[in-house]
Amino acid sequence: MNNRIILGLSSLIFGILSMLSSRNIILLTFEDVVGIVFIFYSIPTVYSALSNGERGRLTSSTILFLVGVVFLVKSYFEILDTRGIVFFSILFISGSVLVILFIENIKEKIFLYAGIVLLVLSYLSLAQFKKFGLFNAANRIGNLSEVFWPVILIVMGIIIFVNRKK
Amino acid sequence: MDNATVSLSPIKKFSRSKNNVVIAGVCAGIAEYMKTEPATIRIIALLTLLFGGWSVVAYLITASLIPVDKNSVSLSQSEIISLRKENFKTVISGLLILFGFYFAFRVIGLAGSTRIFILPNDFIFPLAAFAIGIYFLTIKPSNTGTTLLVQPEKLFRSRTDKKLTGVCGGLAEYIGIDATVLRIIFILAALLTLGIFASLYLFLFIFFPYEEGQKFE
Repeated sequence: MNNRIILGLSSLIFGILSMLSSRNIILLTFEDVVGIVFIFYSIPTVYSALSNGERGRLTSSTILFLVGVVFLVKSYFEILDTRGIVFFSILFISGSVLVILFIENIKEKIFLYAGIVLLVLSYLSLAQFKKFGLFNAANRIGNLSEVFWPVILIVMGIIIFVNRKK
Repeated sequence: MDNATVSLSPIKKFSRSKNNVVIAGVCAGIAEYMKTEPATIRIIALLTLLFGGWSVVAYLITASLIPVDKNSVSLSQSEIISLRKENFKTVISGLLILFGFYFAFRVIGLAGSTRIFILPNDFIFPLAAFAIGIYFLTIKPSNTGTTLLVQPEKLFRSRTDKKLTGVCGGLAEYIGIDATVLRIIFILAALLTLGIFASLYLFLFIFFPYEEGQKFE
């Protein structure tokens, strides 16, 4: 499926769902809507990017898919420590991206090994790291980044703008 | 009678750009008129959205009133492709800066509007999404031909695009994204995971060789 069509359909779904939820016809939060749209956009995009060998799109749509899953999981299951899942999600998402990159080019076995290491670390971060108080420290960093993330967006935008002719 | 000839410079006409188009070519037209970079005008135009959505109305009126410049030279296939890439990066950077400022204003309590024009936000945003969706579904695919993706078969650490060990430069080249963005993502992820993510960098540094060919920079 063409990227244009996937984008168009995703926008329409976002429009319909957010319109229905704003009128209280369906009970969905903004996070739910974004999660559903991310998942809807990323599944066909991963498929087409894999068949066309477009690694940039493959990486970004894999990340979008997993972020969408995180949004839905966070919303449907009562996760008390929502900051804690950021720690786990970063490791799990990057591990999955590396595994997908290995599937795209199976000659690069290093992606598979690095991906497995990150997936194991993500599991350990859920199961073991809490004991060592790592989540508390991660929460403190999370608090800081919550205040400063607009600055991060602006800096990233300026960097892309400056390097646009590369 | 004095026969002195008066040289008249041609009157500069304001027109929409024919080649440099993101939506209707208004920003590029303004840039050509003012002899400046179209990207700068585009960023400024995006940032005006911070002051309400009226600039969209102004844009649409301008686009419908101003004709397209028919005298401009047609661009080659490769020029069109590189222009599109540049425009895409400009729009992405503009949106990032716009959202950055929007959320920064919200953090410091400056942006509290729940309405755009006279309509509530929760009506305008779905409507905008509908419009974007219909636009993407109805536009004709471009006739610029298929672009062949030339991506490296093997992953190497970059010798040319290198800040520390060339891991991010090599990985960015392999994936096909901007190396600087990848570096920022690596730094943020390493900070948020208290350095655990940095183990990936070390892993890749140890196991990836330098790119072949040139031995010294």
